[in-house]
Amino acid sequence: MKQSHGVVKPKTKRAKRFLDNRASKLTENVKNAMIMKGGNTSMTVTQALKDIYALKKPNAVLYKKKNITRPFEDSTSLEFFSKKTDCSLFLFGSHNKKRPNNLIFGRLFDFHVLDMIELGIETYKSLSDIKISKCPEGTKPMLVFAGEAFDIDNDHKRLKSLLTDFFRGPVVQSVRLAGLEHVLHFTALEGKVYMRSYRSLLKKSGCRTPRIELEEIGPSFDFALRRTHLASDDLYKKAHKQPKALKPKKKKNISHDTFGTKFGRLHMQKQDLAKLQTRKMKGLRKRGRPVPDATAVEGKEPQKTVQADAE
Amino acid sequence: MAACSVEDVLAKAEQDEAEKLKSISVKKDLDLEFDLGNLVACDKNRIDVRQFRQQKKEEFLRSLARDNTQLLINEIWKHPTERVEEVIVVKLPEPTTPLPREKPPPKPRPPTKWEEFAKLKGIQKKKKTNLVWDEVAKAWKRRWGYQRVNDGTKEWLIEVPELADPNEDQFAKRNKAKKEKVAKNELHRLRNIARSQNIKVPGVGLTPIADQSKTDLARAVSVAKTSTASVGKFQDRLPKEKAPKNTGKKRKFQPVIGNFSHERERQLDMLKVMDSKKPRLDVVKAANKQMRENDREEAAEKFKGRKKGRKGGNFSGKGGKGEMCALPSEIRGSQSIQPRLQASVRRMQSNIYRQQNEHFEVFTTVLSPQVHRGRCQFRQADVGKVVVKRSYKPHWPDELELIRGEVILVLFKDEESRWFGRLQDGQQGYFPASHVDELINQEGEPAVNVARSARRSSAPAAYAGSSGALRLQALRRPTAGGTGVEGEGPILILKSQNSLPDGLTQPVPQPPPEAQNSPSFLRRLLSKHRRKSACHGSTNTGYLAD
Repeated sequence: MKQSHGVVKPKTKRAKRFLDNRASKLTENVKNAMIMKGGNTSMTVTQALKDIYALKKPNAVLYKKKNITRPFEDSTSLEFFSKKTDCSLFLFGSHNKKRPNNLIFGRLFDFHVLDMIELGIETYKSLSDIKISKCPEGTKPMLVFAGEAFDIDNDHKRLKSLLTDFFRGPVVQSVRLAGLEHVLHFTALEGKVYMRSYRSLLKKSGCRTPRIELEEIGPSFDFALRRTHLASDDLYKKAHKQPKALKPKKKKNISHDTFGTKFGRLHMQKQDLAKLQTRKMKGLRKRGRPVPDATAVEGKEPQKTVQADAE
Repeated sequence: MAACSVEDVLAKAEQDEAEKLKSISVKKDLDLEFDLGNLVACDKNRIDVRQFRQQKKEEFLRSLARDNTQLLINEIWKHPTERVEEVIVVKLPEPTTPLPREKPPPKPRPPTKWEEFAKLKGIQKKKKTNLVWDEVAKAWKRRWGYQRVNDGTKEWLIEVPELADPNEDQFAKRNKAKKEKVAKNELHRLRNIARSQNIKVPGVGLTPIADQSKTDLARAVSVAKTSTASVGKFQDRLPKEKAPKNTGKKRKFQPVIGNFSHERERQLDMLKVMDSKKPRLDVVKAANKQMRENDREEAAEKFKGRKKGRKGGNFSGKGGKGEMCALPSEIRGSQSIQPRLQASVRRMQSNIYRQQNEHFEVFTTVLSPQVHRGRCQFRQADVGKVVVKRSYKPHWPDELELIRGEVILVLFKDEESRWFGRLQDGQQGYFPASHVDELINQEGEPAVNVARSARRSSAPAAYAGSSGALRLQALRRPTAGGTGVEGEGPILILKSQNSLPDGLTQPVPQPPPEAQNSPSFLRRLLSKHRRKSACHGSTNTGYLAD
């Protein structure tokens, strides 16, 4: 949509739908990834890019041509591409003498670079090397992060968030139990990150929950953490801001006890207790008898009582 | 005894239970953290590096992964499941890990100018009904849209108001007013959007852009140019500026009352064309087209034949029908046609010579590309009759023989001194203008013609018994500089051809035209300098020499 000559309005309904799909929304679309090559790439890198594209299949675009840019220095071309194809994740592969077999994972916010983390491939086994039948395309993978570093180190924390964002796929409310096949396991150990991809077989165990057996499919990487370009804290916070409409509406005057009992509160106006409308019970009604009989009754009664005591 | 067995049974049952759970239980120091909305599990336990190094890397990682995945699965299985279309699905909770958004959250639509005004004045929006009762039609009709009530466009009668001009078109006025209203509405809408997005809407013309491309600049220039009172008609162009490509006009018409002489010329030209007895059908073009098609079909046939394995490869079937033997399909006067020409001529020859079928027919129709060229270069014909003042013997075969006193109808003037015309007996050809004089009255001189025809008629006698060979020989005359005899040669040859009762039928379309001597014809074609317009003669170029 050219903004150059003032406002441009779409001429067909289809165009309008397309533009609305790309505009900012309350609940966003699945993040697309663009996978591209740098000025010089080795066989390892190209194969690695292809494999990761296969993992991310419908939500990724793989570019064939080389792009002579350096993301860490100048990210304008990346931003341009993301604007054109509406992709907010990217994976840039390159190969130099100084940084051999380099992969840069990154994400964008509002078409500007948010985070970029450079990982160097030390060991790599491709999809085609491992001759086992793979998971079907588009399976939502289970992500497992192991190692203390993912909790302690800031870089690793961002890396964890980035990898989750990259590989999680579309967000769904329910998952088919039999379809939980694909497992991506990341281990952080001694400054390296080991990525393995398994296929889980749900075996029969005695009880309802199945026993898991794993067999390795898919690419296996040994990454070394190189440079990082992380977003500043305020930009990071801004990116995480959720619209107010998405917040779950809090139900007022309902509270829960530690034991789980549910309490509610009622708010009353001032009441005149004398003029309350209550249930009428016969026994509580006032007795209206004549007065002279009262003394005779009273006289008799104490006598009776005295007699009783005397006996 | 019974008591022991009961205890045993119980113990056994417990053991079984433990066994069952063993398979899915995993021992970990720290519990994992789960985010089931994203199917993520985080294991914060320390990894024993020594063990990692001792054991094979893959084995260690696999066992670790298995344990973690087992725990994650255990966690997932704790959640409620349901059956959806024969499939068991588990309902996942909301994702808990905060992940950054793609784009900033959408801003609410800013109020338009009217909305602000309404809020200021306290004007409420009143909901109107969709349907309105129409008294005339006695039905509920829409307030707006298809078949609405008060449809102004469907009115057949508009009262002219008292103060209005009686010659004004009220319907047009109404249409114009509506268009203006729509445009105004659209402009206001765009302006509202532009105000909210802080961009500019063009009032009139173009909005300024930061970095303009070539097309933008060109457009700006053209817009600026046409923004004068006379819509750019009197604006000078820059020295190297090119004229605008599309003026917006799709068809250009001559003015109704314009140049009288120009109009007269055009009308007279039309008469001349009608009078000229030239066939309206461009025979050359039609023939070329036909030939092209034949060539294509032949090629396709050949290709098919080659594929299937040749079955008696004669292409008489195709060629017999109506193979026009002539020069090849596309002839445009260029040097590059030379080899192609000869090759196709040869092919044509071979075609004809080889075809010995009873269904054989050879058309020798008019096919000379120079006519085509001549037509393209058709010039203003001064249709006029000229009288020959000096006899002239043709130097070239396509020239006319001029006899003093003859009247020639000038068809067109190829050059200043070289004109194309027609004789009384129908012959057409070139002649030098210096030998003729303009004539206004028509003067027929039958005597001359008789003489001419007599001379012509004598000639065939000599050639009466000409055989094919002789004929061919006759054709292979030397080309350069014709003598009187040779000048007549072409005429004679054709006559003899006509008289021969061979199996070769020659449907000659027009009155006996001159024959073309093929070699010279060819030479002429190939020469660049002489633009010869050929006569309308049938050319049996099948008999071309190699």
